[in-house]
Amino acid sequence: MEQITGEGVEQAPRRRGRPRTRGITTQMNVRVDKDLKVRGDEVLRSMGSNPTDVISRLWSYVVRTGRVPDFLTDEEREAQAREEDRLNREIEDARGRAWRMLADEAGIAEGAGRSLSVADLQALCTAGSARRAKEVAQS
Amino acid sequence: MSIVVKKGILVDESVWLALCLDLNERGEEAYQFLTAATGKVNLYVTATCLQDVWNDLCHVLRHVVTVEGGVVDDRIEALIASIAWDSVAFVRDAATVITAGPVEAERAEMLKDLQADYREALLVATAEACRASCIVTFEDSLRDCLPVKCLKPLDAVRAFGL
Repeated sequence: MEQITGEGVEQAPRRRGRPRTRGITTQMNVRVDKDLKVRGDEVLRSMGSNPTDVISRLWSYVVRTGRVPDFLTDEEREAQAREEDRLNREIEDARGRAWRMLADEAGIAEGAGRSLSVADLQALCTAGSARRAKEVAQS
Repeated sequence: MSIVVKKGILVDESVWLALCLDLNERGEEAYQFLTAATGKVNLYVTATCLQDVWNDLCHVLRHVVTVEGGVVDDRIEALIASIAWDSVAFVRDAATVITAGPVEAERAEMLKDLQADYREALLVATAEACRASCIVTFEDSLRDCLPVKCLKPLDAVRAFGL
């Protein structure tokens, strides 16, 4: 990681009363991936720009519009959609995987387990047995 | 940029088990709920529930192998354990694992008049602690238990507009 810094700090003359901030620059320290910074700097240089210019413009945009540029939220949305897709594939894959693996490795017919009734399942499960015992006790 | 606070839903063992075993009676409902809820709400699972999924899957798979005329030897036992581990890994990936501590244990005792089964009282206390909007379960005994609303998977899909 490498730090991006601004072009220095201009000291404002001390004044009495409410401090004036407009026109005074300040320094920002931001940590970014080193390789990303090098590559980004190259692109900006080729465009005749630099990190300070880009960051100033970004901050101006946020202040002027009260929001971040679309590409930032789009990326977030896309990342979220990708994660949802991944999880949905996981759910699809986990569904009945036990029977597929038993069929492949032990030759057990896939339908055998799926047809288990809820009553059979509860009888087999530890927690289910506890519930059944409770129901019997309550009845 | 807006900050969206997602609702939280605690998913009971019965739903995870129904999906993993793809039971004829419940598999489709569990699948529809989980795919509808993914990304729209935060799903929670208790660490105790993961343990139950592991244990109960092993019991059920051993039973089915035996009923189908197979022998649960060391090789099949290892296969069953591997399936159970895979299933636990899946549940942990699909949901956030939460645990009950001393506060929840004490709260569970206070719920004994509403829920006679300590295990389920602890589940309700844990759901309260993580501020879950509801518990999704197939268990009737749990659904009757207040103070946290308990819904069947498809009822939760409708209730939360998933």
